[in-house]
Amino acid sequence: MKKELFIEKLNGHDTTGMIGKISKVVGDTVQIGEALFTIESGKGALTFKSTEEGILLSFSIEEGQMVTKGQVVAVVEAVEQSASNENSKSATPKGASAAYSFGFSKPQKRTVDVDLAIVGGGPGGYVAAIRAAQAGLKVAIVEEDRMGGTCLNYGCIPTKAMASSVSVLNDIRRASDFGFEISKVDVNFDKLMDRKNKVVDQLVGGIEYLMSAHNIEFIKGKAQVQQKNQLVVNDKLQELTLNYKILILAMGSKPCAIPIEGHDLPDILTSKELLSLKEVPKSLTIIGGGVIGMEFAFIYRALGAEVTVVEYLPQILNMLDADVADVVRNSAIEKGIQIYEGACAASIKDTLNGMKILEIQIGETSHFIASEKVAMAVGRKANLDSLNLELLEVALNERQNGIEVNGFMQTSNKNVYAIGDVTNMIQLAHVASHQAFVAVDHICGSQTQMNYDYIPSAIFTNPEVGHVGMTEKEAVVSEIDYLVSAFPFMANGKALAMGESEGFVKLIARKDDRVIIGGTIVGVHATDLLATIGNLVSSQTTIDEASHVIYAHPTTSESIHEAILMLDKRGVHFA
Amino acid sequence: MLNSTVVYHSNSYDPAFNLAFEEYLLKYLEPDKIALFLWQSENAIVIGRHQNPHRECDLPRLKQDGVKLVRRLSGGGSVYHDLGNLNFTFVTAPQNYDVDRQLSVILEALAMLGIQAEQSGRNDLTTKGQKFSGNAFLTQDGRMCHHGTVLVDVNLEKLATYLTVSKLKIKSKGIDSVRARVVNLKELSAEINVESLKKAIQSAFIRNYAFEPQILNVDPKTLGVSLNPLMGKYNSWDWNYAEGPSFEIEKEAKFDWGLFEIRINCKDNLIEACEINTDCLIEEDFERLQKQLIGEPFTLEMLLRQLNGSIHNAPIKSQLSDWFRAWLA
Repeated sequence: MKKELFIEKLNGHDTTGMIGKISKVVGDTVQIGEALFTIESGKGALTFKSTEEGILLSFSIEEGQMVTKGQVVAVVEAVEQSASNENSKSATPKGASAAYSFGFSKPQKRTVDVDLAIVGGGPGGYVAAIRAAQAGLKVAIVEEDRMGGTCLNYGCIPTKAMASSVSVLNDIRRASDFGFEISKVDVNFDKLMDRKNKVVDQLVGGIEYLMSAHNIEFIKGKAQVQQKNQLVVNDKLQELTLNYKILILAMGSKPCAIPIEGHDLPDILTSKELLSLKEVPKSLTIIGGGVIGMEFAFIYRALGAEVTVVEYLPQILNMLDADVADVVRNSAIEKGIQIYEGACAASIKDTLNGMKILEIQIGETSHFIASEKVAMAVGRKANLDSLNLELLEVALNERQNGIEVNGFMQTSNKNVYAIGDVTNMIQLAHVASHQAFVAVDHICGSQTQMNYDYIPSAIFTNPEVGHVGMTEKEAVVSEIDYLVSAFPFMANGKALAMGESEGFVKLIARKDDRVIIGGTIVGVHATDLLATIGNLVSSQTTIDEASHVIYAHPTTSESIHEAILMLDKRGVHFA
Repeated sequence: MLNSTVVYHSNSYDPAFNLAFEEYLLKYLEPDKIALFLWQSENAIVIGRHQNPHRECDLPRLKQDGVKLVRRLSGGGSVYHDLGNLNFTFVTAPQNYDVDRQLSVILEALAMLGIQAEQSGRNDLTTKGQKFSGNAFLTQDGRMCHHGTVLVDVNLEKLATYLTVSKLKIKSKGIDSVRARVVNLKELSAEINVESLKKAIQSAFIRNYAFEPQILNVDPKTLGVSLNPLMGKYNSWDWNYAEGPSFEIEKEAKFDWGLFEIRINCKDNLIEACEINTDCLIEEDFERLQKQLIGEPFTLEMLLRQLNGSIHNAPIKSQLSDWFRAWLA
């Protein structure tokens, strides 16, 4: 039923006023008592509140317009149907409850008491929330941005969505090898980014659903420490007091910059901006050849940018073995990515024609790289400033770059735990999630400590890399007597059929007890195949036990089997 | 029914704190009470609820001099506060609210100090035709608020500088300040100062309402906790700059490479529409700049970032950067 809203009252005896700020748009749902706009007359300001509940159909006013007392200002499709009004008794409580839901627009004051409060809704925080709810704790989680944290919104997921687009593009480009002639491919970058955003939105929505499915109090806003065992979240919508017994800090991290000249120029990009560019730059220089830098290098190169990567360490992806990095480097160079390793970025300057010049130093000599954009992918720093840690009596680690925790993820304050990037131990989503398990389980009485020995890592370059356990490099340094094998995908039927024959599966085992202690896959499906090796390594499987497993043919996983056999020099398909 | 009165004296010169305390009173003061709140700001411009800061004051100058800009909840125009100015606030429920009576408290106080003044129109207090007090009003949460300034010994030179905008075409849908000839009470009576005025207003308030009031000091140390949420608002860019009605701003300048004219439409301080006109003959992507600005917040940082990303010619870029800086610093 359409209901008209009109101006009943202005300041004092005023009969005309001016519409100030309109806070609703047509199509919004409005409640009785909810503010729609402000009016000013004779230096007095007042708020116009809806007298109906329903959907706002139209406004007959705009900001700055003069209005008179009694004038109709809006039409609302009111919720109550006249047909359902037969029973006036049932209509009354409904009206009453609508009146009670007053003022979404004014801060709602409320107090929430929980067993566990979590600050930060990333893969550390939200996993902790679910784990704790499953254990029967009353849980509240506070997130100021969107649920999912960096991983979902500005990290793993959006880059993977972009990498998937690029993978389709690469397939199209080599379609001819497979028997298809495609004349021309146009990159529609807007659409690509749109798809990426949709993927992110869907996952964020999924996590919000998980919160409600577990009866977790989800509070959107910025938490502040009030006093011991009390947080407050205050903004336009709420004045919330959150009393907790235990607190988990999961505030995450943000990209950092190296302090060279020009690092603070306004248009230096970080991973966050690389995920929200409006067009593909003509040329892009990335400082940092680690995981993030290399992933973006492959993405933007495939989309047409001239990409240069500058790595300070002697090798891109420096934590990996040289033979693994070689595969990625060769692929990058073949695709036209320029790579400078052992190169120190010295300064960034603007050129007269709007380009950037990056000065790098290799040994004693300086070189210059010109490009349209410069990005920094040089690591991430913990969000230590977002809460008053001192008031929480939570101490930092020795290097002052993360929150100090014990094996149970407990901080110097026994009632406060910290997980994820804010601890600055290993900044990976799945580490944060596992730390969440350890922390919540400890809160519930378990004595299992966090173990960092078998953390897998996945790198979405082209080809991909998956790694778990010990690298050969580390085995050499720790002076372990080891066996090593590498089975090339070139000798795997499925990989060859797919036209993805670069790379290999590499395994490391201890010589004395023949336990498999590490593995790296570079090549097709590497990050998914990794789980198998992860299981072997973390359950400390011997070569003999592992070699008895049957792997389906024809799959790329046979390469793992072959690599296991090759540790004993008994490989079948490669000699 | 009025049952009791309370007088609050602020220990803080921070307008964000004092405005937050006003809002706190609006929310929580008992309906049978009237509160008089006396406060000052160190160095601040306080703009009306529906005003546009770009239109009201010289923002670069404010920034340069470290003057705080705060939007208040009540209507009306912009005022400059320094320690030569005293602010008074009355908060009460509608049934006890009477602007004339409240203003008579101020007039009686001035009479005690030997100054004859009168109410001019409904909003101002004047003496010999010159204004020394501006008042504004607000209804919220079932309470009403009437507050005003009293110029005792304000630096009028600064007042004039800060509240003057350089040549700028701007069409705001909000409220424009009305310029008035103002006078410091100090010029009328050598005895008056902020302290004596405070005392006089308090006695006049007690006499007029005939209750023995509670007299309380308001201090950020003791009240900070409950006011923090509200203070956050008065310290935020979102509220102070972006909460005003939509506006259109236009600025042009002549450079050696040509005429540059920019028109921006803002809503919630986000750029809704933008038009750049130039007769510049150098091939430059002004169109791209225009496109890039849409949807962005109207801030200097953003303008500089987009300028940097769109315009390549160094002299044009640097001159426009300087011009933007002088405009919005």
